[in-house]
Amino acid sequence: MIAMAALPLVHAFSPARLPESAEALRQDVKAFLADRLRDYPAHRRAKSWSGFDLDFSRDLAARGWIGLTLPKEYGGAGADAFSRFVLVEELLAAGAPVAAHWIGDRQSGPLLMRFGTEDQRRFYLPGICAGETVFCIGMSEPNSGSDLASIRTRAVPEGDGWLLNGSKIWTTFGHRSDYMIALVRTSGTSDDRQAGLSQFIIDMKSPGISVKPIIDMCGDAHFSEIFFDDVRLPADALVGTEGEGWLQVNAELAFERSGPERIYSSLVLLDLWAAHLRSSPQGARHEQRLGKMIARLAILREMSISLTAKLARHESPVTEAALLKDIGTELEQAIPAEIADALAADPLPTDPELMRTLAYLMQINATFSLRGGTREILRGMIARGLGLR
Amino acid sequence: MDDAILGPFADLLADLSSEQAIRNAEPSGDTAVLWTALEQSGFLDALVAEDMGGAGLTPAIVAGLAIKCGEHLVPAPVAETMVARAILAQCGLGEQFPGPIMLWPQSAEGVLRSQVSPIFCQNSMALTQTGSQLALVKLRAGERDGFNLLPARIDHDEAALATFEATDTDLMPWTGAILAAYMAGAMNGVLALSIEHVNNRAQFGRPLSKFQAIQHNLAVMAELVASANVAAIFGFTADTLTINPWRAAVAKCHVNEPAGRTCALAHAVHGAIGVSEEHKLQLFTRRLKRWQMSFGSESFWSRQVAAPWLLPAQGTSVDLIRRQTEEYHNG
Repeated sequence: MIAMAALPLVHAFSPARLPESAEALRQDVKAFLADRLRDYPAHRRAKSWSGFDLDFSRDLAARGWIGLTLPKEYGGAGADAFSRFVLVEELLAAGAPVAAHWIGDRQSGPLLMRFGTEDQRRFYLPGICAGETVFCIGMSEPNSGSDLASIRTRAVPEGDGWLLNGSKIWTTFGHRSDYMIALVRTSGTSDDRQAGLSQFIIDMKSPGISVKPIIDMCGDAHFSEIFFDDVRLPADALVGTEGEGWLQVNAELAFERSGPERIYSSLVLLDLWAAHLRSSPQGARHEQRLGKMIARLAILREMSISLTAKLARHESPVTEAALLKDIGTELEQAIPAEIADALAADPLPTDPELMRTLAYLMQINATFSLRGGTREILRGMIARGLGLR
Repeated sequence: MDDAILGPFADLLADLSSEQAIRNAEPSGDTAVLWTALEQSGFLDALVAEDMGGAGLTPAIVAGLAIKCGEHLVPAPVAETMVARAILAQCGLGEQFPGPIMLWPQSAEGVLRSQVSPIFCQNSMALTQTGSQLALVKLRAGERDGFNLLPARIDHDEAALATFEATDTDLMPWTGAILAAYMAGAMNGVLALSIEHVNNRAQFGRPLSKFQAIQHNLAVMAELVASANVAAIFGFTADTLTINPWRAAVAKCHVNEPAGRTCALAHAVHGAIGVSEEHKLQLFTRRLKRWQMSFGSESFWSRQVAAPWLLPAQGTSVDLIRRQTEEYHNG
């Protein structure tokens, strides 16, 4: 009846299944986590991928579960994206404290695989895979959040290398990182927008770097501000091609946005609440509310697996990842609000761990649709994918 | 999805289920031409096993066909008939009942398990189910309802065409899955209309599509539609004829709210013209809103989705989702 305009974006999430080879990992990971996280209270596990624990990361690495998709020659397992999905899904469901290795594993390592030199791969990847080297991301600046192309941190050529000046902010665990991969300007001015930007690996122990943790509203020092004052970078600090930073960063963001952590941030809370309902005489009252959230979660999981299949085929589902992140974070944010409404319907005695976990997520959920690209930016990307911009 | 099957099917529907055919069917249920062509196409036997003369396709393919039916607002129970024919064939009653068949699950008291009955079309029958008792009965048209559509009613003046027992058949999950697919298809149509509208309609010297507010509204619509399409396919089991009731529950539960929000966003960007009878948009949105109440709203299906979580369960929500979706996993 109507000319159904080709809308590849809304049909991009074709059904996919996790193969048996990926599933094979699951029980081992579960057993490891059940043992390793035995004494981890729920309210800490609720911090999910914001929980920093180097010992945990090292133990995970000892099992070969960091850098899963990186080649074996660099310390990885040479596994596919599906295997990583299974691993990540179990880590998030358990609320494992993965922050120390998360960025290196999720994006810095893959970035170096894609754009780095052989020497860079040999130098950095083994440390990532061993859970020894902590990476952070240098993108936002005090005056450049969503408008990333307006960044002012600058590297100018000096001798064989570069001289770096400027600052970065909202850097997750910058104050505990060994290296930063930063987007900086190397030529032109802000008026040149995306042109003239490059990426560098910065050794956080370099002279001229000072780091200031930022306390968040929940009392955690998770973000940081980093200042670069005439920091010398060697020539081999450049990642990929000078001037191609924008293209590289967008590829990196596709890695960042494609994983199931964009749908599972409130999963520990959801499961705590479900356990509460099972043992509560009022449990059946909230069946509809619970079912609605689970239905959404099940569909989001399908969409996430679909994107994983694209990653496994070495595609770069940039707009699809933005779409999934926007819907995913919407559910992640709704879960604490819904549970709060349910629990406050009857002020019955409630497990203090559940209440503490709920309080944390009710507050921190504001960040879910900010980190890794705000809602408004993502919707602009989707609009472009619909041909409207 | 298999384009070799979906492509020709979509072309057939584009031809048969024209705007005029849809509008003509509304007051009368007249779908004779359309139905004859569908009979001849062979698509109605999609789910009937090959050794019983059908195409032996899997339910997952039917999901794609049903989405196409929704896109084209086909005024006849195409997907329902596919399912009914497969069930009848399994019970030894194949090929005896050509004609449109609605799925009609009933409570123990014989009451249709839907707040609104399916929309009538001429010569249609209902495959009723009360417990393990199934029957094929004739339908007649009721009075045009508040949506200005004709509800089907069982014609109690006519004797049942067939009655039989089937212990492992449950029509209710099929209705949920089929509706999720019809709704996803109609949402595809609404999104397409909306994009066309904002690209063509200009105000303040430029097309609506250049305004950020409009861009964001359409981005949200695209999200809702994308997830609905995933839900539609999710609702149908991949490999076997037996539908997974939990998947079907998730599908209909999920799609209801996105359907409503999609209608709201579409009417928002269309402005007054979208509310006129003359414009195509209302053909989609009236049906989507009526489908929200068909065979269970979110409030109904959500309880079935949650049920496994309220049992003495072990494991995370991921474990439970995997267990529920892979119940019928084939190999």
